Amino acid sequence: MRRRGLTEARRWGSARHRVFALALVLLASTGAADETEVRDSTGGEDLFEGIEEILVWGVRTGRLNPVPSVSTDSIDVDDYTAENKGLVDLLQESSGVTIRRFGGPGDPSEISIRGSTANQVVVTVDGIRANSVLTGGLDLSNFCLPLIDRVEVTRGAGSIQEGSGAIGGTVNLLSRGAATRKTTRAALDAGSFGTVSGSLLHADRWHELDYAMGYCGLSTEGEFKFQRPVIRSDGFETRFDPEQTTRINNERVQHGANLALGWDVGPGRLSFLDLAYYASSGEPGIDSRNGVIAGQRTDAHSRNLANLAQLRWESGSPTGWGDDFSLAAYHRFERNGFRDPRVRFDDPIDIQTRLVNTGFRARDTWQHVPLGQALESRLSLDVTREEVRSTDRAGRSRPMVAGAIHEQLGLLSDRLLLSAGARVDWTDGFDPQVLPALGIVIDPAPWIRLRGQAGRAYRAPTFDELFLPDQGFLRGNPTLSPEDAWNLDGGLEVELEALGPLSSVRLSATGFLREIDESIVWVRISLQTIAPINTGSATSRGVELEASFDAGPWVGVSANYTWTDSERDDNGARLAGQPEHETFVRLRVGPEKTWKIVTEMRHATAILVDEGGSLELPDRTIWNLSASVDVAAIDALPFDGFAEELWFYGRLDNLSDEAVRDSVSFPQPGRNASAGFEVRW
Amino acid sequence: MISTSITADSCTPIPALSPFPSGLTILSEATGLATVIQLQPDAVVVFDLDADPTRPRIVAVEEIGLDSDGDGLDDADTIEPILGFPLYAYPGSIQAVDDTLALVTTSNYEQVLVVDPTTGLPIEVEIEVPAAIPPERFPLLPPPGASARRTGISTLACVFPPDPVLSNGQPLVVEPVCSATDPSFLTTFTSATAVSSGRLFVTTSNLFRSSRFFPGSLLVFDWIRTPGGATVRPSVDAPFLFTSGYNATGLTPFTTSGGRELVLVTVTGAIGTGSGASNVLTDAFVDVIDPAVPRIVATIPLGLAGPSFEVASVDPAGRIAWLGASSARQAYAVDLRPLDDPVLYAGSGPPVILDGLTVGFDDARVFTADFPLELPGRSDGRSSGDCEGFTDVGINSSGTTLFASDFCDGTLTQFALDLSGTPPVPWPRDRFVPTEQSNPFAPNDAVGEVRAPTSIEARPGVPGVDYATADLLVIVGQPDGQLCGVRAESL
Repeated sequence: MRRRGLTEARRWGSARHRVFALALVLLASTGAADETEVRDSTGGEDLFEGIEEILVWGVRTGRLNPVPSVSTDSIDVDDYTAENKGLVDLLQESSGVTIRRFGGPGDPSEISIRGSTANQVVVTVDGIRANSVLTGGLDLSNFCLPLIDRVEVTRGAGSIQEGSGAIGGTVNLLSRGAATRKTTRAALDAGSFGTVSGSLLHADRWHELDYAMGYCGLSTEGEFKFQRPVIRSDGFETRFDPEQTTRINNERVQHGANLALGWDVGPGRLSFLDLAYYASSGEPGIDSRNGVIAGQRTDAHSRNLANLAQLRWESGSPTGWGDDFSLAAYHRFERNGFRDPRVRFDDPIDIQTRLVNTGFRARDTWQHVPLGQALESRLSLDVTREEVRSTDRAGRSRPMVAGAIHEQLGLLSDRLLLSAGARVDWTDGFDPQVLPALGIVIDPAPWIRLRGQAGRAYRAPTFDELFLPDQGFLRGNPTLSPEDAWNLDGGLEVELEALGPLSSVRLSATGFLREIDESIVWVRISLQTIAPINTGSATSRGVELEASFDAGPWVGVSANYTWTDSERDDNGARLAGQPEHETFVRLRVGPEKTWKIVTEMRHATAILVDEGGSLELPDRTIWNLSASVDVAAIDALPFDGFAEELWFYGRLDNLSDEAVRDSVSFPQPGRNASAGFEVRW
Repeated sequence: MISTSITADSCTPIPALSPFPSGLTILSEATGLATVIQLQPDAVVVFDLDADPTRPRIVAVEEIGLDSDGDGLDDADTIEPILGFPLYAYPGSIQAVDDTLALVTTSNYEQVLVVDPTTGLPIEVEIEVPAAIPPERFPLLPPPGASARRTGISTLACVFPPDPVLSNGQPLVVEPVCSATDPSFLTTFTSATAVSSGRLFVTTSNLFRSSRFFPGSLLVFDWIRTPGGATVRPSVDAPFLFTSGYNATGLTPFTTSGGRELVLVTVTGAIGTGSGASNVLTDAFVDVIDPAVPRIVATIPLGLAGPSFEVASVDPAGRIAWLGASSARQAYAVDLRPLDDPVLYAGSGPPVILDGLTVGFDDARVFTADFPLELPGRSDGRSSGDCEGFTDVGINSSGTTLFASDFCDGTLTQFALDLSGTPPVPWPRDRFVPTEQSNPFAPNDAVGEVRAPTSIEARPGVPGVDYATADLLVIVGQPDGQLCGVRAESL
């Protein structure tokens, strides 16, 4: 995958030198690397004429971004222009990240980092938590990528910043903000399963006001054919009848919009950010029974409306004590409705739920130079109130208060960076939690970095886990304790501007370990009833490898590999839902600014369906292909001046038509295609 | 392809997505086979109990298709005009009539499937509907006066109960499919079968809506065994029997020590969809059918016991019957000796209540809701969270030991059964004492381990003599459905 660091890096050509046969020279410093022909001082004959010529490839180092000690990715959405990707497609290209999809275009999907559950990952939008206060998880399909500018993925850390829930890590979605330059972009595409989506964004400056506004929408019939599971045991197989059927009641209409305003007020800047989405969709439920309907719900329907508004002030500290100060007030509103008028052996279902999350956060940062060493201090305060109102339960609310301090000390001209911090996080109903974190970064050279970090994380049980009304087969457990975890990881990063014929080479390797205790797992507490309980401790360990490089201006390659081994400490049982090995490779051919053909391969080994049990989803290899051309960049075509960029693209997903499932009862579509255009003024 | 692997030496995963197989029956010792009903995909799975010294092995699998009753029509197409839902057969229990024929109950598409328990293959039976049967009585059977060969016997029936009251006390209303004027209902959740004295009895749980039940009933068919099949016809004289309580879930044919053929009906009472004592909503009974008449001749009240839905375990001499508990860690028992009283079978009055309060009749209650046989706690001290119990029981072939499994803590407890002599009726409770407990499975909150035993059956024959493999078969439901062999007396 491409990252901001790479796109911003200057690209150096490979260095070729003519040298003597036995002189193997490795150009590993910062010297110039132009092609040179050795001649005598008079510029006459070639002194080495007749001597065998050997080509030696040089190395030119790069410079790593000033990232902290944690393992992060910063994904620039514009690096994927005209590839018709969704948010989950981008996230899936990060090592350590697993996406669980529950269907096709627009269908729900959730994130796992390093084998975590979805509610062990905090997803924020412009720094404000977007996870459901009811379930703790988040359906990532609600976010449409055109409204997002950048995605930051942090693995195995984030507790100091986000508090409860950041056990697997954090994802921060940065929406398209106010811009000082007039920009307009639009996109429209259509694809398989009656899917049409489009977006329109405009950013400009009006007097002193910078603004950006955008809309995106998706409509899909969502009916795709899928293969039913075949289950093998002891040499025998059982199959559903029929073996192939169609996803039904899966239509979806989705709208999203954002508004960003920013203006300078006095010494600081005031900004207002709002992101809203609405989805209305059929809820087919699980693939579970014989027959063409396959046990799917034929009439269930849901409607979800959410809005996240934030007012933020950023300036130098008004107290004069700090250097950078920000204060944000936010309000997140979510309304979910679920109806199913046809329920056999029960009354029709009609549940309306309203979730509200209101709070403010303050940040202040100081820069000191005590004893000639750079010290950065950050202080933060978070106050939040979560509230749920629903037709199926009594209303509940709970306040959460947290304060954090984080110190970062640079030594040896910032070649050694030490950080330490702690957050005290209090959620009503539970004891205060102290979340310490330590980090170290060693930069022996600007192009190589060693880093490590350790920290504690926790997750307070969600409203559903605690108070889900007793529905007979499902109920909450008000006696739950918070999940408690320690994360530890260490890694090596190398960035080279040139390595032989390759440029923009970035390599990284990370090892991680997570110990989690009091994991909250939904289990059968009786033959008929499922409820959450605290289980014993579990350990996840693994390795993440990433590599990316360009091979000339026409070829770009990125790849990553993740090995995750998660098991319960008391019995060695594997944790479910996570492949042990995941590999992703992306190959881009073409000059990128004009046209590109992108091939992606994603391989995941078998996924355990049940914890420690015997059922496994098979390993899978998925191939995707896209081709894009910016006709505005082709001089021979009459689009020059029409737009800054005008891309036309086509995309094929799941080329080999694999029958894929991330969860046993939720099928995903086979081969599918889409085509469209993106235009920018 | 979803593949399974062996995670416990004594267990074989069932090739299904649903973790709880719904039925288990063991055939005679001569076959060495057991048959399991699995869900998702629905299938009959045959296990060889002797093929492997450590675990049962699958030897045949037969899926249950879209035309399960063999009438040439898609089941969903057939049922939708009647119920408004396009439903397929949802398998439940299995009961082997003998080694060549077994009956599988299905709900949604209410019926009894006839299968070969050694292969799982469907068996056709001749279904005859006497002309005297009202045409609206059985919507999916051949019309009165006609017959058809099918692999499923429809149990969808219009029932007109004498006491038309739902389990929550509300009056029963009119079911338009059955009658425009009289309170009635269509049977739901076909739950158990028994063949005795030339009759086929079929219970239906009659669930109306969540935790609310129609009156308890069972269907009666004439059953004529033929080579390779049977002829079945709805009983003209007594097509329905009405049970003493709600939710008839189990049928157990047996012969008393006095040689009388009877059928026990487990009537669990209304059970909620949750767990624990609060899940038991109305009283339970064990009704006794005289299959020769047929009628319910006696009932033994158990109180708010919520017995398990399985077949009762009767000792080989027909002296005592045991039941597990659906919502508690305990077992119940009834004394079968009073059932040899010939007075019970005289006349045609209402069932005699064998609770010690009916003059001239014994009290047949041994362990009831008020005096249950409680299971001891797990011996190694491992907890079972807030699990409130699900107990199933089985008796060894010699009738000396009762095995009780506990869903919650994964234990298997043995109780010695002292049935010697002629003690007073009912059996004194101190004759049944726990003697041993093993922990073959993990507590239910031990995520990742094999746990949650739901059904237990003891093999016929003498362990170590007739066979060398495990003497108990247990279905476990977590982390996935497995059939496990457990050695209790087989060393």
